[in-house]
Amino acid sequence: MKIRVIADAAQRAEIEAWLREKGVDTGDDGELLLTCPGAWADRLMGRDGGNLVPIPTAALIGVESCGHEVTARTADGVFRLQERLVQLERMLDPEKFMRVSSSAIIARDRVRRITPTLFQKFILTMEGGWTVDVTRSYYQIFRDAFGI
Amino acid sequence: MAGILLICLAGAAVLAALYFLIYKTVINRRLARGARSGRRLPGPAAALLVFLAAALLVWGALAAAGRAVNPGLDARYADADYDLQVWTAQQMRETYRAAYSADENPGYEKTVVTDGDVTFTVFESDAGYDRLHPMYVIYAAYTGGGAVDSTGYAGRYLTADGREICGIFAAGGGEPDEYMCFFASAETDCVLRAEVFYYDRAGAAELKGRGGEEGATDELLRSCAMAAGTLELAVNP
Repeated sequence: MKIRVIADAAQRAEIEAWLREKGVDTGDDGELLLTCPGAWADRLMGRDGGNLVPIPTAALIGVESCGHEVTARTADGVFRLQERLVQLERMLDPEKFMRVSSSAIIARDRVRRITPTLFQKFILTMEGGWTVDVTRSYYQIFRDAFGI
Repeated sequence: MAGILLICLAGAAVLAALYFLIYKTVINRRLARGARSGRRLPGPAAALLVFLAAALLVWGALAAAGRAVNPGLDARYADADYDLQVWTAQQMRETYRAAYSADENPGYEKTVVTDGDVTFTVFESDAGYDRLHPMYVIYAAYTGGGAVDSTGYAGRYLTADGREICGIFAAGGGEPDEYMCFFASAETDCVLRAEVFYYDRAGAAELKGRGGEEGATDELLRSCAMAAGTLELAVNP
């Protein structure tokens, strides 16, 4: 069993040290998450082919789920994540990220263009050209968040 | 009115399209400035609904104004039944209508009206409006000396202020006969106007030629006729 600790840097170091004392393995690729209240992930672990790559959340443009696969988009490319979207929603700072559909979370400051439609939906063009829909369920939340 | 409705709806669509462009520009300017507050604009769908509602209101107002300027018929005229038939003497003789006579008809009151060279013998039913029998049987006969080549007629029901409710007419080409007979019934108070036209050969030819170009208007029928007669009756069923 391996545990991944979500906390600020100082807290994480202390908690990981304590867990290792108790014989519990820790690491960024842990299947179990231990999250501290008020703490948000500062990095995710993505896979690029077979390699495990740390992805700072500050570099994230967005996260997208397609079928069973969850991918993180950054300026450097697209990486597969092991977490599910609902887990990522709890790990990522809501001040910086927001869910816009059942299959996408975006970084708020990476939206480059908003295209409205007649049907209570927005089409967002993100940094790098990725387009993602704000669906009807998230339409008002998005409007409130962006003041439009 | 359908045309005006289409114009109003087209106007609403144009306004909605313009609003959409403005909305898109405003929200992207706010995004670029990083602004997260400010007066929120209504979404395009809400704006479209508002424009459509406004278009329907405008159309309704225009329709009401149009109706005030040019009111249609009252319901009592529009809902009533009217019957009007015109027969030649030969047609009268060949059917059950042979029971009617230009001299006397039991249950009818007779009056004679003359208009120029046309004599109208009017029989008005004592029973008033009756779905089975004509209220009026009107014999129209030419009493002038000209040679009649063909005939025409027009029968109209009018409102008390002279607007046409319904009617029939045959511009010309009718075979000359002893008389033309109008069978008329109306379920509501109105005015019956019966007109007959008699054409000599030249008039008939002129009617045929000009009618094709100008259409068969009342003025044309009268101007081509060598004799014409008009009868107006106040109908009180």
